[in-house]
Amino acid sequence: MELNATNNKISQPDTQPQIMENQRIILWLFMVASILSFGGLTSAYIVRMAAGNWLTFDIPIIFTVNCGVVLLSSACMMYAYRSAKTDALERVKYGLWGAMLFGLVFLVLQLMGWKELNSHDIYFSPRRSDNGDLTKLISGSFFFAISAIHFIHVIAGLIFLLIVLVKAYKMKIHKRNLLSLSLASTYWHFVGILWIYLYLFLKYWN
Amino acid sequence: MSNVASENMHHDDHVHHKQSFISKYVFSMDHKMISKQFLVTGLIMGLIGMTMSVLFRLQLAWPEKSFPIFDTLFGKWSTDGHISPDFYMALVTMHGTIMVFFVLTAGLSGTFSNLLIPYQIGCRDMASPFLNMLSYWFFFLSSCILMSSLFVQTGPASGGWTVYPPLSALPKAMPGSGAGMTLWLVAMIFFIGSSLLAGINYVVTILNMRTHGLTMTRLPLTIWAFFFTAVLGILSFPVLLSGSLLLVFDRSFGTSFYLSEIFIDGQALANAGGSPILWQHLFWFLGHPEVYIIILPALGITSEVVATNSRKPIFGYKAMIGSIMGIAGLSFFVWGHHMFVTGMNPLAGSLFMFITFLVAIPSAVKTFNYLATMWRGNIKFTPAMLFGIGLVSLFVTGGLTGIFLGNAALDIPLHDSYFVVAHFHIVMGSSAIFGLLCGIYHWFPRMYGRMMNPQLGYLHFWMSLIGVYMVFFPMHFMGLGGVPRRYYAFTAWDQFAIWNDMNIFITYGAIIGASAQLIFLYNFIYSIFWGTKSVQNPWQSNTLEWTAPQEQIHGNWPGEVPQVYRWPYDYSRPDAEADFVPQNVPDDVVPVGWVHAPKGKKDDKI
Repeated sequence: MELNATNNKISQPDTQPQIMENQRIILWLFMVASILSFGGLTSAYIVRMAAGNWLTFDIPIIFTVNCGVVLLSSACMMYAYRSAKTDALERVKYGLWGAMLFGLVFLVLQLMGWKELNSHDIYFSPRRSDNGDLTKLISGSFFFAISAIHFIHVIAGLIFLLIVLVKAYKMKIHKRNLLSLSLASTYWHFVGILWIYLYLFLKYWN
Repeated sequence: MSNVASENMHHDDHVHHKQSFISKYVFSMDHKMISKQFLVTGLIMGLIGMTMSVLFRLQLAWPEKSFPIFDTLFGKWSTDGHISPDFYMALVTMHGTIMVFFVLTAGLSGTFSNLLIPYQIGCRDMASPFLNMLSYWFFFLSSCILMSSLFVQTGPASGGWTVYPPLSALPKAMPGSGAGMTLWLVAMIFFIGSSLLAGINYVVTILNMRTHGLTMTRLPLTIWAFFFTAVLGILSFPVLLSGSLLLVFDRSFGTSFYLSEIFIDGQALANAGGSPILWQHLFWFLGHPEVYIIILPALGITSEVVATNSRKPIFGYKAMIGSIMGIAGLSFFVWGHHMFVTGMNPLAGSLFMFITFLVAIPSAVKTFNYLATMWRGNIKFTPAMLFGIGLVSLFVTGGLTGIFLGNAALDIPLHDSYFVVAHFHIVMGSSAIFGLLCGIYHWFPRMYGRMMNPQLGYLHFWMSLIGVYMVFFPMHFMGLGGVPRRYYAFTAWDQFAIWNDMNIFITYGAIIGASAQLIFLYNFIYSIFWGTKSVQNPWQSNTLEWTAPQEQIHGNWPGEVPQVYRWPYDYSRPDAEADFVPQNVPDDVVPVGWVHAPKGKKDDKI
């Protein structure tokens, strides 16, 4: 015990070999849970569509653009992570700022995309359209529900990035303290890939 | 690696540090205290759920009779001493929700996973004590929200614990569809949060924090069961979360995921295009694994208790692990057997039927292994052991009717009849309750340092067993006779009049069973304060929790955590002096048996 406390570089003699850091497993399990929750939503979509009486619509180009935004944001995150590995601390901050900026752009574009859908009489819930008809597109409701739940995941990711950014300003992110940055970047890539998957799913599974 | 430092700091912290009342008893991060919090909350919820069942049993047995006490207790929910039909439905719904989620999911798994995972794997606390605390308080909040729905004007949710739309999706469908249903959903969302936080914590702790020498194949079966329970929770609760969110959208934001065209008084509602069946798919995709989330911890506890009290190694350790895995894996592919009457494609129905039958294999493996473990063992009939044997009995009885209901051709006539009620109450309701009680009797000395009174324990066991069989066994015949479940009274149908006496008999059974739990409650509370002090290892068990000192300290063991040299089932070894060899006995004292010797040491065979 004494030995451990003074020199915690030695792997824990107290335990069996660890698979990876606890926090990393926790994050992965959260992501698994999240995948299952989107799995539930997309399966519901498939089951409902298979039942017939399903109206399709074109997805506004803005959501396609957002896939690019996701990639840019992920690229910034990778830049931050690589910089941290070489102790280029200033660049870590630039990378994180970039990732967050593109994250915000993503959110704004999503909102604009939803507005555009509304202008085509596609709503989350039934509304009176301009010609007085009640819009009853269940496929639209699914689109809004799925993208909105993803939206919340992105906001969570931004909060995560903000915490890491504050750490970076406190000089707590560097070559030998990469865990929080690495976890944030894993999560950030995850929500990015999730969007690209959801986009492809919603666009082509029609 | 930083864990070591923080772990040690924690440990030292609490040896020298006096905690305030709030941090010790309320917002505690110690797994032992959190386990007690789960247990006490679970027991209170269990008491409420049980009382509800006695109330609606009184209504079913004597639908014409007036109970003036109801008027005082329920106010406007009762007229002239009769529970109102709305309130009856609410009682049934709340009973189901409370028992399935709050008692048998959180109460059972929360209590014993928290208590036993750190103790039995030899670590000082959970991977994240903070998330662990959060998980309890989410559960507590969720319980409070659910209970508060009893006091809203339109009453609690009353569309059944499975909350099928449209009753759950249209706030005006029936009284309980209003605020009560909203509160039900909010409670459930917090509950799911609690389960996820807890489950993730359990998995990480088991994977990463086992003490030196404790390989996965030397884990007690309790830990294996808790592990797969947590995995099932992580995989299935998010799906219910998604489903519940869609239900919230339908209720509050005017979407129609679960609502197709509905006409009220000839007027079409604005909703269109949804499907109520969708909810059933999402619900039962959780709902079936949920059954195993309930039963697996009970089976794990029983494995441990049966082996200890038979003074024999558990029979077929690896087969037990395999069957836990098998049950867990199959559980994701059988949800359709709850939906045979939804007009499902017969091919899909046959597939669900076939996979459902496969569940019989691992279940039978477990049953036979329990029997083989007890066979010619030196059985100690402690109350815990009796409840363990009781669980095996109930598991067999209920499992057999599962074969009836898994068969689509038989399920369709039996669907929503008392046969179903009998089946699931025996196989996963009562047997999991027996597992919970088995665990409480067995680990009470570990939790509170005192013994429970065994005589009252025996009385509790026999009354419970008789009560359970009196209540649920006759229900099979009622179900075969076509009596439907969830009916307020059967007075309007002549063909059900022959069951009147049976209903009275069942209610007497319920009263016997419920009184037994009051005896238990008395024993439990009395023993916490005034029970006889227990010794460190009262059952002469092998697992690590009994190597920790009696007074509970933060960090569990003063000094180093024990090292493990063997599997946990070295009972009655002919080459050892005592009839048990705890896991931390080194192999130069008693050689490690061939069963779980590390590679290269196989020649140590005994």
